Amino acid sequence: MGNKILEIKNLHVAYEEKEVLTGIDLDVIKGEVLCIVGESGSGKSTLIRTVIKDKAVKLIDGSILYFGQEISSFRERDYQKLLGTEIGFIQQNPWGAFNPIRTIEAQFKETARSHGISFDREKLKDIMDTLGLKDTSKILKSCPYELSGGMSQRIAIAASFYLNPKLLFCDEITSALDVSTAISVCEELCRLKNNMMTTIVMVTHNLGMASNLADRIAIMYKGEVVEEGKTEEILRNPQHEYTKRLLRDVPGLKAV
Amino acid sequence: MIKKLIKRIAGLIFILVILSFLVFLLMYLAPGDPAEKRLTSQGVAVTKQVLDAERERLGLLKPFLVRYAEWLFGVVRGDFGVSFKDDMPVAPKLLQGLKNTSILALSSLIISIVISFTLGIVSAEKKNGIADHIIRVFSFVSNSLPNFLIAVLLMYFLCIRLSLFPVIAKGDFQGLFMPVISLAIPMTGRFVRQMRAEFMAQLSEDYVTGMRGRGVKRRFILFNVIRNSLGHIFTIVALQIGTLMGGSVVIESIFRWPGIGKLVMDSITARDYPVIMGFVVIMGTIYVLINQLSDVLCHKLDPRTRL
Repeated sequence: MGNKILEIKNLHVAYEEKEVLTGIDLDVIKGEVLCIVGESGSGKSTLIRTVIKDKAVKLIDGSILYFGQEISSFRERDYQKLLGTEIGFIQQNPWGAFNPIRTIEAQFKETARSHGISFDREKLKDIMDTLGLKDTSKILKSCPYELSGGMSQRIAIAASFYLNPKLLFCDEITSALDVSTAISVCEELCRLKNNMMTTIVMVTHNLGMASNLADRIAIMYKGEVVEEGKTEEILRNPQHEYTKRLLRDVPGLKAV
Repeated sequence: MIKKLIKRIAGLIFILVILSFLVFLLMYLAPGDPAEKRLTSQGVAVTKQVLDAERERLGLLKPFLVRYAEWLFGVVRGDFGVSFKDDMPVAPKLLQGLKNTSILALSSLIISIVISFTLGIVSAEKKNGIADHIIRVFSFVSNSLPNFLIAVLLMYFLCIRLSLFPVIAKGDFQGLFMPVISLAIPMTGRFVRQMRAEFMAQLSEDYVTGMRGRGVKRRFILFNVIRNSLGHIFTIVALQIGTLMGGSVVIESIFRWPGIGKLVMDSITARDYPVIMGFVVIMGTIYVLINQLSDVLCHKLDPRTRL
């Protein structure tokens, strides 16, 4: 496969003084969809938060290279500029992307201004349409606390698509969505990957979804990547006990 | 909305009526006879006849409820009665004192807010950094020092050692400086702690992570954090205003600032009931009004909070 967009080497990370990642080695290849699958508490979200340099997580050891450059060598301000347009992030909490008591429009404008681009209402409307958000002008005038979880999540996804990053991290983004919306969101992610060559790292506990979306799958268990490989290999020939158990528990996947 | 406001105002009036009744009752039950006190202070020989005449003149012989009703209707019309001490109307006395205390309280409040807001943001953003540690020590020390001690220390250093200010200041700008600083230092210490906690709580909210994840600039993130903290800050400040207006008695006495606190202390010594009752009613009204205003502001700033 092509060149690496992200290389994670021997990563040890603590969250609230407790070591949650204990020696992660993982590469993300340009243009792929990588699904990180694991149970709650396995450290999937912490891994993403480490990459976006969330202040709540503490890097103990190891390195993360973005296009070969160590991310800790970036000045904070420079790294902040990369986030959004180069490295995108959509978090699990559907209301988490925006300030709950300010209008969506004001926050979209702030985002655009932060990256020195003008706010293009038509472009946003097109993105929102594809995500099944119909009344753009009404949504823009609303505050997130007035919107449902599913709507908020799709607006957060729209914000990421709007900025069109090279590498997009999605942390359980379909957990607040109903099945049909979740499917359309996944289709949009695939389209984004195909049209824009966006590399997508998707965290999920849903192996079924991962098997449909991913080029590669990494299985996380108790703070470690216990297995990784091409999707079909992982599904056909799982090595680790935890992966075997996961496969047994997903209805309809045993026959693959 | 309007219905809720009317309901609130009705509740507010009810609270104030109860407050005025309790104050009147307390003054009624308090030991000491204002008529006797007044005659004694004027050097009049107190006989039963003179005393009764004086009580009659001051309206002390009427039944309790009649006296309360008369006083309450007076208060509603802005007439707080006549001082037992010098027969002067109470309202102008209270207003003058209130004006001076307001100048003192608001000046120290503004200084405190400006300093603690800045320090609170720096401290929360640089959590556990050197600046945060220094700010926390300052906050701890200034919060622990009682304001009268700060007043005495300021007097010693600024008036006696450095001779920058006169020991007995007049009621002018120069005289305002030291009482304002004495009130502002402990208040700043308290505010810094509270604002730091609020800013830190906001900084750890998911929306901040979301904004950072979208690459939103630091100044916009801070704007959002401050915007969301304002409701809480208004509540802290509103509660402090009440304490400040009534609680600056010591500072006013030390610096001889002609505020309402000093007026009331003198009135308590002289059993000048109309002044004391007027004071409590005015302070109660200010306190209740400010808190109502802060509730309305909180609702405006964060529509999720119920009015």
